[in-house]
Amino acid sequence: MREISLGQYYPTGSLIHKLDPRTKLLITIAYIVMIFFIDTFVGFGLVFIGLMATVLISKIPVTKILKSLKAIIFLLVFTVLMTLLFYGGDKSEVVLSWWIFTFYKQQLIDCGLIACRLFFMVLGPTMLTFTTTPVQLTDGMQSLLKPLALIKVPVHLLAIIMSITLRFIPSLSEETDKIINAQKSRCADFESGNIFKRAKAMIPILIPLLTSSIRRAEELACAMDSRCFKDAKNRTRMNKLKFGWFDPVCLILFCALFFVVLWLKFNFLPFVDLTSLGWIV
Amino acid sequence: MSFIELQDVTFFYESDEESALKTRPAVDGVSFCVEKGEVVAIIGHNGSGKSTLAKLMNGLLEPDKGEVLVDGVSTKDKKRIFDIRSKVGIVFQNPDNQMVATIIEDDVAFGPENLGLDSKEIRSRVDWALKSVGMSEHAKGTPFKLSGGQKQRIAIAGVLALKPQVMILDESTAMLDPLSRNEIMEVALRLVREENMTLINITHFVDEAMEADKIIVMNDGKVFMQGGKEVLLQDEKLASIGLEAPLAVRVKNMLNGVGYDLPEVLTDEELADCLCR
Repeated sequence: MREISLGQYYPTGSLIHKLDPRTKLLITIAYIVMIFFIDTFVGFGLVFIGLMATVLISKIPVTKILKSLKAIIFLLVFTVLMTLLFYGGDKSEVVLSWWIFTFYKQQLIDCGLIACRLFFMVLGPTMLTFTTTPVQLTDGMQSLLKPLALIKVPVHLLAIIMSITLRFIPSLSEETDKIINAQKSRCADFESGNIFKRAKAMIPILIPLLTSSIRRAEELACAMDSRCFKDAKNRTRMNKLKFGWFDPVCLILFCALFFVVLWLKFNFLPFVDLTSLGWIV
Repeated sequence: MSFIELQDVTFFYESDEESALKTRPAVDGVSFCVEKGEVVAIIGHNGSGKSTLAKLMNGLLEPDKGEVLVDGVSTKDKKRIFDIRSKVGIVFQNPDNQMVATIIEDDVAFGPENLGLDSKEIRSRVDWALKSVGMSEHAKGTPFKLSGGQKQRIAIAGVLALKPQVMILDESTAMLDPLSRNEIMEVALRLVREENMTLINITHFVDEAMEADKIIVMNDGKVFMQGGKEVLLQDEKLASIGLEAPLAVRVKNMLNGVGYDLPEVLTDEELADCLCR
């Protein structure tokens, strides 16, 4: 629980870790959009190659990444089952017929595509959180959202609020543990009874937690004031975000991948006709 | 002129005038001076107004009556309040509640970032501050895994990075074990010597006051006693407001009470010397 504010950050000091968080954020957002454009296995194959390259460069152990994907296995199986059971698409080619089940070619293809889409959808942002600390993410977001300051959105303040929130999650979780233990030692019962009883039993935890959070907030405000905090706007940063040589390389490579994906989808190049290459679609 | 000067300062926590008349002021007609390079100890039991004094001295609170002058500037001067705060830094009691960032060096950088310095200057100040408190090797780590004393050293670094001339320790050692307490006091006293800083130590540990050049004893919002180390020798007077004189002083008084004739002593070592002779 104490590690929570570092998320699942896995430091290896690789080139991917050293990328500017803005580059990583932009690529991740565009990547999610891109996934929706892919409807061929060739497309997913390309994304897979791209992601594998990222994983290799990032030096994060593959087992570590697979472990973090455990959570979506249920979702994946559930979605695939749903598509298999309730299929209403093209039923021209029967592949397998057994008992009351009939599987069609297009049905299996759709299933595979949906599974791929889900898998890749989760894998991309996972790589972002593996290689970027929450603080870097906050900095990156603040910098990317700068234009919003023009319409008077307090971007700087939001960034500070976010980083303080991240900072206090472990402290408050530690405090919750302490309060639970204190109440337990006075014979409070949190484990038995129906859901209403249990919810009611939480009150002696929530109220001390609330009061202590308010007290903490007050002390923090004092400490921030005495360390010359005026407003978020005129602050400078120690670690300025800087684009290195690897940032444009990554952006260009990603753009190329996106271009190919769009081409596979819309077949807009006049000199090569994808429909003639039947195996791709 | 003194660096910090309190002139007949009175402060009420109730801002409403009517209810303020009924309540007792947290600080009541307090006057004292702090010179540059001095080590001052402010002692008193809980609720004696000593923490309020700390907040008054860097402008977090404004006096209701009287004046607080820092380097000749009144803390009522709103325009120069950040000037004052960068000159007088406070380290609070609970290190957990004064850190703003998850990475140690980011936390230390918070103050100078607020001053709007450029990133090179901030970097050099952060490195220097962490080195001064002996925490350089933890710069990239998180504070959660550290001991209370180490966390408090980081809080000190966070204040140091503002390059203040005065550092106020507001019961900064109260939550620490005896070893960490000594560690923090050593760091603070070394800064006084090496960086020519002024230290104001607000504490309820009388033995910490023995290191001070000037001792101010607070009781019920008023200055009860003020002076050099001789203040600590007044065993009975201190006891009357619930404070204990240092152990050596009490032992000496007890021994003298049963017929010995020992000279004035303050520290345990002095007492041991006396007894051996």
